Amino acid sequence: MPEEHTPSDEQLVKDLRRGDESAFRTLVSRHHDDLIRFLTRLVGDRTAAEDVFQETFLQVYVSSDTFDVTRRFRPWLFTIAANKGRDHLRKKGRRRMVELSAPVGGGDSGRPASFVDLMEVDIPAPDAALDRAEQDQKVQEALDALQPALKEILLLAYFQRLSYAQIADELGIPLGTVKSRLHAAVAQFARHWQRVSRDARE
Amino acid sequence: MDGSPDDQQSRLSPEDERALDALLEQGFDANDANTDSPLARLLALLGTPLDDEQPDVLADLTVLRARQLSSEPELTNRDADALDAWVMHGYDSSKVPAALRDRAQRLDHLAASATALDAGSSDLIERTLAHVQSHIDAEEDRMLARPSAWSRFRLADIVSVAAALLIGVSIIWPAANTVRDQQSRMACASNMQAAGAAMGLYATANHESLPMATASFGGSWLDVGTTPERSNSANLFTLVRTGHVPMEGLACKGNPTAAKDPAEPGQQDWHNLPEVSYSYQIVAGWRPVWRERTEAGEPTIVLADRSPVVRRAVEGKPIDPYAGSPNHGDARHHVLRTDGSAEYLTSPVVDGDNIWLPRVIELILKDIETREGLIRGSERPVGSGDVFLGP
Repeated sequence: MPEEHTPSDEQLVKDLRRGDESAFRTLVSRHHDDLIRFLTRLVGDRTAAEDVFQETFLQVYVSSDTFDVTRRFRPWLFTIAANKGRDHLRKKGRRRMVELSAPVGGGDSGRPASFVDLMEVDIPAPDAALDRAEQDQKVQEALDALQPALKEILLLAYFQRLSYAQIADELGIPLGTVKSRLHAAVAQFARHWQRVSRDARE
Repeated sequence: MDGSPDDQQSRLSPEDERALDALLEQGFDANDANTDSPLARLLALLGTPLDDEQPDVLADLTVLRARQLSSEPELTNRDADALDAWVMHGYDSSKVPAALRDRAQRLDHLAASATALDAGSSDLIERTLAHVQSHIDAEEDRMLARPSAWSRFRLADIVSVAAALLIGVSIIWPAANTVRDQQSRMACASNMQAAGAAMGLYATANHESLPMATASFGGSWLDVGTTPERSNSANLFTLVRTGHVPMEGLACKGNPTAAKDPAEPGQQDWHNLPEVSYSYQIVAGWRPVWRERTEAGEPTIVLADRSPVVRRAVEGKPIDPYAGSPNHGDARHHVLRTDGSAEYLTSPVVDGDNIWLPRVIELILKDIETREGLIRGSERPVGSGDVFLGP
């Protein structure tokens, strides 16, 4: 069976500029699943994520002329989405103070920086038979406990699957900062995950 | 050695050295220090408050930093190495060196749990496209509404557009001619009447727009019940989805396969073509025809009994371009216009336009029907199956 020619995202943006409406539909459908997951995790609730999703693609449509087609579309899309998501959270006035007050790890304060050993964190395998809704909610809880900047970089990195250099390039921050932030984000997430899953068991 | 007595040669006297040791040993406290001791007074200088010092804030900050430090988890070195390797290998733990692979697999799981989420229905795609479409429409309107005589026309026109879009219009339904006719069509007619009134209500609440769910971004308007919903029937189904009309309200008695049960939660369209009882104006291109025509003051047909042509085409059968709706024995059909007028017709051709057909098919038909001298009299039967009669 001959492989069907699938146009790249960048080609679709070119087509869209020429007025090809179906190219736009293809872009929206192609990125629907990942983007709505990303946004739901970022802004914390599905309804808001859907609003931001629509605003994101409206921005893509309006700005398609300014997109540099020699660059990749997906990071551009996710950067727009992250910006819109941030705007949304700002408008909502969701300034989280949770970093300073959330009970973390053993919960006892005064300890120096604590190390997370991933081999000791109870992380379910993706195919583990868990209550989907319950796990979904717990994951969101753990993510929401992250500092916003860390949460953003964690989600951006994973959903875009970019190298450190690419993330640094996209976010305009030094490579060393990307690395240390991602390290901190993973550590925090693992720790918060440990907490919420333990809370659930108790 | 006659260096300056100020540097290396400066030493405490043995007594002072002993006093200092003793002072430090017992825990020097500047506040408690014996001010008679010069050494104590000297050391107390170190504790002189700074000009701009705000001890409370600093203390708070220090406490906060300490608390943050204590709550700031860090990755172990091996986990940090595994994370770097995982990122460098495209977030694929199977490509990470064996020594770090088990940790990278944990990262796979962690990331998967963070991102595993039901992406939900494709309804969002349609709504996004419609959202973009409405933006385009608004932009077009904005560009049309330039400050000129045109804008004054537009202002007056807005009212008439609203009025023309079935809003507040009581639909005057053609009277049935015979008892038999009445039986076959009255229930269906009242359905369409109710649908027309619902469209008016919908338009009032939705910026004078008739029901639209799918945007004009590709897809086939014939594909009833496919996901994502791109069928034109999904546009009409908006009336059901938004509660303007019950499901049963769009089921014609003349359609034995019509869907009558209440819509399922989240349902966006009828499940298949046979369930659909009415045909709705196809929205194609960037702007619906009904909008263009209404703005030009010309009412246009937006709703009719279901099309005979679409049914045949979907079944892969040849079409009869002049048939009436299957709702009424392939003979007749109701039509509803944007100005609220309605008719019960025997022909699908209205003002020279066949309501079942796109222009391209009409042109093909017209070519055959209007070509002069198509039969020349020189034709002969080409076989035993080719019987034809002449003058």
